[in-house]
Amino acid sequence: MIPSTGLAVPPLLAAALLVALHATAWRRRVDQGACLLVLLLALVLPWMADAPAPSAADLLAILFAAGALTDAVAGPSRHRFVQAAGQLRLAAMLLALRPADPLVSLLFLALASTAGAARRLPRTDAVAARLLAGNVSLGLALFGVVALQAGSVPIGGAALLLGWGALVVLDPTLLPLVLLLALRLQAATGAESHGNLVGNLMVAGGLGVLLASAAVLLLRRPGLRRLPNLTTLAQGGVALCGFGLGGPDLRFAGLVHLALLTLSRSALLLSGEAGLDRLASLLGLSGLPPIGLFPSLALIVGGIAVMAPWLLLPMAVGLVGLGWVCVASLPAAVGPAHLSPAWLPLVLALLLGFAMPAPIAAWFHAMAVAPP
Amino acid sequence: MNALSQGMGGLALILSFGLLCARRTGLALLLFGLQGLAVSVAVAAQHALSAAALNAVSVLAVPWLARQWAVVSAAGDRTWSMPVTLAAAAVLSLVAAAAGTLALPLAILLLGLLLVGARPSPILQALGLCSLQQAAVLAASGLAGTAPLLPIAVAVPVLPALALAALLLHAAGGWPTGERPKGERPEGEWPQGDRLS
Repeated sequence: MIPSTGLAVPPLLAAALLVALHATAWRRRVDQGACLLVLLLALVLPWMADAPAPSAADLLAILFAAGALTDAVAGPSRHRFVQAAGQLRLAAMLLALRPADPLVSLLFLALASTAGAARRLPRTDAVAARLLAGNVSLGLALFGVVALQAGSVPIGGAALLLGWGALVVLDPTLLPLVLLLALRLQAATGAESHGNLVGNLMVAGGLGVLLASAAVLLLRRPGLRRLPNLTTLAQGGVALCGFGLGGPDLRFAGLVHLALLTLSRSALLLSGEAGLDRLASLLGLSGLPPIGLFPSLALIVGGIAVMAPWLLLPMAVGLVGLGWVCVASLPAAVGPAHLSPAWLPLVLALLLGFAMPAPIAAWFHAMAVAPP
Repeated sequence: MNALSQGMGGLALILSFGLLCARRTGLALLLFGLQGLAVSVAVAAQHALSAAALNAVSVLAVPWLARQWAVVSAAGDRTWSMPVTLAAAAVLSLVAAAAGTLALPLAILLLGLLLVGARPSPILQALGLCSLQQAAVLAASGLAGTAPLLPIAVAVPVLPALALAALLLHAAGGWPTGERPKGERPEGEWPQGDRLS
């Protein structure tokens, strides 16, 4: 496993440096450099000769670093406090990957959520509202941890999933981390005499998130600004359904889904205005063929069809609604295709989805069978 | 849970109802302090003295700091009328009664959530959030025998600190450094002309 504690050192140092630096150009370099360093380390460490068996945390470290790097490269010019908060959030997310006591994980999740709220500066009222809303989620999750320790799995599991789910609604960047924590919760409670209670809660929660996101998109038509976040939530719901049903195949598909989701979001961030690259990113994010999330979505739906065919009807309703809104949001005419950095993650997603190299496929399979 | 612990848990629940009914901010702060002290006594009755002391200091510090930093706002109107709020509180308490040994903490948690939803005032919402932690501390006190460190860890005032920070930011209402870099856009906002349709 990647020593995620060590991976968190560059962003922590960068956060301290960013607060002290005033020159915008240098701050941008430090911001991007720290993310790039974490990404390179996260990519290289699992392939070292003495590396331990791979786990889902290895993949998530890469996804977090890739997402942060894209944001640092393509994001707007930001104040030093906001940039430092971004680095702090990356460090907290990397530290939360370390398998530890649920209370420690919750503490890092709280730090990541608070740093995410601080990125809304200078709108202090927005930060305050986000902090209050995040606090509700953390309070629920805290109660859930204690209830689980007390042996009350239904109350504890429901409170935890509700709290984590609310955190993801507030900050979709936390989605992969929360899915990993849910997997750990499922593994920790699965051995007890509660059947697959947490798994069933995860399936219900995932389906609820997918249908709610599709309903909001269909009824409110929130526009292109909120479309990526709502689509990410819906795709997270699909992954949660897959993880909840369990089994190495669905877990493999869920991990690939998370990787493709990060690549599609990165492509959207890197894309130009109203160009073909943005259209391709949006279609990929909604799961429409052939690019983006389509291959992993097909894998998850296929797995669900085998394990719980009755789930296909509500899932199809949610996915069709999602695709419909995305297609309806597209303009009648788009600009010409041009060379854009957004095509790199899109091509990578295409490769991962349809022609995954054998060593990487083996790595994903190893992560799918390893304890989360 | 022994008798003293259960009694103090019950008192904390009654004070949660009081918080829902409070019309003045000062009264709400007082009721919250009393609720926290009741929870602390319940925790001390389970022989978790460190957690009880930490929790007592935390619940007394929240109203004091809120007053010191002048972040106490008016209690404001209710989103729901009083009968509707109390009816909802009664239903939630009945639902929580099915939770067995966790009934009292769960009821306090649900009433804290109700306070956040039913009262639009930031200070009352912050007190509702602090109530969520009181519920977790009360639930953890029952495990003091088997996991002695758990009540202390749960009593660490992370949630109250975040709630106070939110109150401070709400009261500040401006860019903290007094400057905003040129060309900066708020997080999540797309550039003008970015609409595809």
